Amino acid sequence: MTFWIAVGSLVAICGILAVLLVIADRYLNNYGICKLIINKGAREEEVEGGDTLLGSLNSAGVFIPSACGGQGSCGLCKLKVHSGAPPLLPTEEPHLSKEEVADHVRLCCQLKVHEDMELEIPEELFNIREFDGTVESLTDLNHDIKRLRIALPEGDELEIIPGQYIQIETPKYKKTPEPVYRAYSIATDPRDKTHIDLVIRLVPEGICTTYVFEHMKDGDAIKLNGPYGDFRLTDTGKEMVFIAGGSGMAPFLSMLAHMKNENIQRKTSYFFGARARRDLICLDEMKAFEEALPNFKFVPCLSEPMPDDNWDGETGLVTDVVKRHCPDLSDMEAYLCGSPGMCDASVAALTANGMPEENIFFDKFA
Amino acid sequence: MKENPAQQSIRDRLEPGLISVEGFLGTDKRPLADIIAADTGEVEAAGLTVRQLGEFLENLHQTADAGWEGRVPAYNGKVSVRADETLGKIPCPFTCGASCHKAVVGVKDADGNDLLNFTPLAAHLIAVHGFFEGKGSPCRIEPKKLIELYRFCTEEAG
Repeated sequence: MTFWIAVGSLVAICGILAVLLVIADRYLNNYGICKLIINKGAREEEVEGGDTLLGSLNSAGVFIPSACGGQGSCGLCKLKVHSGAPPLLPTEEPHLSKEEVADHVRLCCQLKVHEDMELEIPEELFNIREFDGTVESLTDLNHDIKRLRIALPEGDELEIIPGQYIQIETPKYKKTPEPVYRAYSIATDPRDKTHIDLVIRLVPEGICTTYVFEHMKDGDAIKLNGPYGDFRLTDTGKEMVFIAGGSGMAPFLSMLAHMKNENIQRKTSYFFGARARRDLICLDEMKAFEEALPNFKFVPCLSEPMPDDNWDGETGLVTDVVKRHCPDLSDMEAYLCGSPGMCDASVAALTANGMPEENIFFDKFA
Repeated sequence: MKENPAQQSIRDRLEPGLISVEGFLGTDKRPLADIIAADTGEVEAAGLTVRQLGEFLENLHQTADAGWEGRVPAYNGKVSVRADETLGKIPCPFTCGASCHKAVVGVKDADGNDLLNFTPLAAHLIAVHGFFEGKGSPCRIEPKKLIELYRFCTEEAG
């Protein structure tokens, strides 16, 4: 009998504690309405406390670049927070220099809004817009890359600079508990202001790309915001080298369309790295650019061609092929778009071959 | 054993849909600390440390990276490695601040037979957190398999 009384008491105490925890969570984690005071009061937004600063700003219609969708891995969403921020988090530290920390720079995807905050946001970010687009088409470019064409809402237009990127929202699906944003380079001809084209490669286990490949279909609604980024062609007139493989081709499709539209005849070689013939994409488009731009040359390069590829083009590592084609890079510019590993290997090879580092440009979100 | 709030917060980030589609736990229902202890114990019983094994994988990834998606020999040609990378980085679910390349690194022997596929994040999780991922997770590496590969690559012949 005593034993059962003890067990009953224990269960009752646990039950009371659980109820207290729920009540405490309801009230202690309720931060109420917090004020975001932007650029010394030039703009003020009231937001529900508790969300990240990135999410709070998004919900107030202020879009901050974040290629990783707020996971704290890209380090792009830096803002100066002058008051109201909690202490620096371990997840912010790798992305911030000592000078930035001293200057109150924070990663706004990691900070939560618990009280009023004073922020500094670059003016140009107020021009970033959100659109409710529609999936117009989803086309296979090869076995693991698709081109996604999004139509903007009727009557809406978006002006882009070739090289910029946008963020698209992946809605809740399957096991994902909440929508996520990911950044993709824009592949659109900049004359077309009513569509956004993206080149998307399937990432194993990737939340956004799995959605695009397995769930998205023509006619679906899709939320996007942008454009972002300062990856763009210079106007120096110098000879250019483009290096990209796979979905890294996206910004170059837009840049080449721009060169064609504006009759920019800069000498340009595009080295496209792939494993085998089945990995190549947009060959017809590249041929059309070669015809329209006599100083443009597309150089596909296969690292492991299959026997039945009957490949008589360039083989080996792209960086070696660049060296063979361009022995002196000292007065040229390079534009890179690809994985961090590809960018690192390319920068090392280009600088070793005489290219000044300041002449090398790449997507910062890569 | 009940998990404390910090462990619970990490466990939440290991669940499907937050950082990757399938997450990092697979079908493993054991507490996180038990998963780590069991795999770490297996590695230590073999006279090695998780840091050694994780850094071995990180070294293979760095070698592959230098090859820009081409296949590159490693460990005196005993194996070759190749990294299939995509844009962007993936954060460590243990919120240590690290973020890793999104890639699959394939390791083959001299005859071209597949020995192991791993992600740079898996290498980091093993080296720094002793976490090989839960049973049934798509990116779990069995300690025994990794120990065998480590010995094959690093031990002198004869």
